[in-house]
Amino acid sequence: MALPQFDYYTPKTVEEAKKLVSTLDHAEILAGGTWLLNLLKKSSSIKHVISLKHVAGLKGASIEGDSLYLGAAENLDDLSRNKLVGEHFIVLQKAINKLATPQIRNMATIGGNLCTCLPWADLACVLLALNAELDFAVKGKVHCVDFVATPKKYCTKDILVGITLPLAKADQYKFLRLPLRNETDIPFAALCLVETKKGKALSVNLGNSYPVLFNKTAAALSDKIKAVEAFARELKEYQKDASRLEIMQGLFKEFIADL
Amino acid sequence: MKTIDIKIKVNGVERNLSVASNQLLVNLLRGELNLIGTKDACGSGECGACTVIVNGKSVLSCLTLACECDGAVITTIEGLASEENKLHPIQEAFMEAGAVQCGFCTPGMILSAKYLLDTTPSPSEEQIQEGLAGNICRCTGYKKIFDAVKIAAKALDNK
Repeated sequence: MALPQFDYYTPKTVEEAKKLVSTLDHAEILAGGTWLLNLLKKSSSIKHVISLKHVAGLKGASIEGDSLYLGAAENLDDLSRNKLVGEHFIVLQKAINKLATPQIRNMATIGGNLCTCLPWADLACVLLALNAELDFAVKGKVHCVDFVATPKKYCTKDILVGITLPLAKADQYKFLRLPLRNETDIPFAALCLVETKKGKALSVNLGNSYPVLFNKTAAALSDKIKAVEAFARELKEYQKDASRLEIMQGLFKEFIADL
Repeated sequence: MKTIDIKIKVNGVERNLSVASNQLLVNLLRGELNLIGTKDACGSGECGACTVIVNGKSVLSCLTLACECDGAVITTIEGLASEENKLHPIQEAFMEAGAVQCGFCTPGMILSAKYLLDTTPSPSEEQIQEGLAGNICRCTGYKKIFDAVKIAAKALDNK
């Protein structure tokens, strides 16, 4: 299939990329390409493609103070094999390995997953539970809670540069995704629990809306019956689709069964 | 449209090419380099028939711009056999297990298997299934394909 014509740009720095993004209309960012190439095949309205391939400083993972910093253009496979990610955030590693297919993970980036795939982005649910902060070239630092509520507001005319995860030894973590198959299906739902000394964070990907933190359920997790009741109440606040309620409640019971 | 000069190494051969910014890697390989073992099927990254190995990683050439491959080392199914035209152990294993029916998915399957075995030399059954999750076969079912990967893993381990 032939793609429509567009101008292709290869900025070398974040500043150059930022200038292009803010001045060009009908422009899209190319990182891993797994989303954009499909979009290009369906749309001739994109006139400019800004590749992040040569932009310095958008890859890798490094410890910065008491946080782990992830470059937004790091591909998912490299991220899941990264020693620092494996050492500090096994739950993120597990979630990445549940995402799509090996070829997609070899191409797609963590930034692309967040900026193009919400509301169903697999990793947003995990990053929310890990209390992540996102660093945008134009808008600066944005907490994941704010980002997932209105991702378009942040991603439009901007570039996600990196993601900061506060280092906190997890006493317990768990990630569960429906469907269970590790294939191309987008998640119907996902749950992520991270327990540190500071407390428990439970994030819920509802599939058809943005992921949210279920704070009341997290606080009730020491008593499973109360947790199920709290989950049902919180779920009703966010999930209006009756057909999904029952499945989500079943998924939650399975999720907490061996906690 | 402006063309972009790229230098790539395909199956061991260095090539200097001028490509249009909107040219897909799959079209470059098949149309210009006549490497038609790489298949163009779903065009949306779901079937895996267009899988090639770029810089050591299995990728989907239908979702890759050729101009993004400047400087890359690319292996297609045609590049797996040795210079003496001896088939690669994974290709031999696919024949031994009868893992080929119509053959359309086979190049992608074999290159995904290569990436799997390069990164996980002794994969479990589950790892084989996961490693080939991005490749669809419409003929045989998958058992013989998984068997072939097991045979290949043993053969490569014995090398």
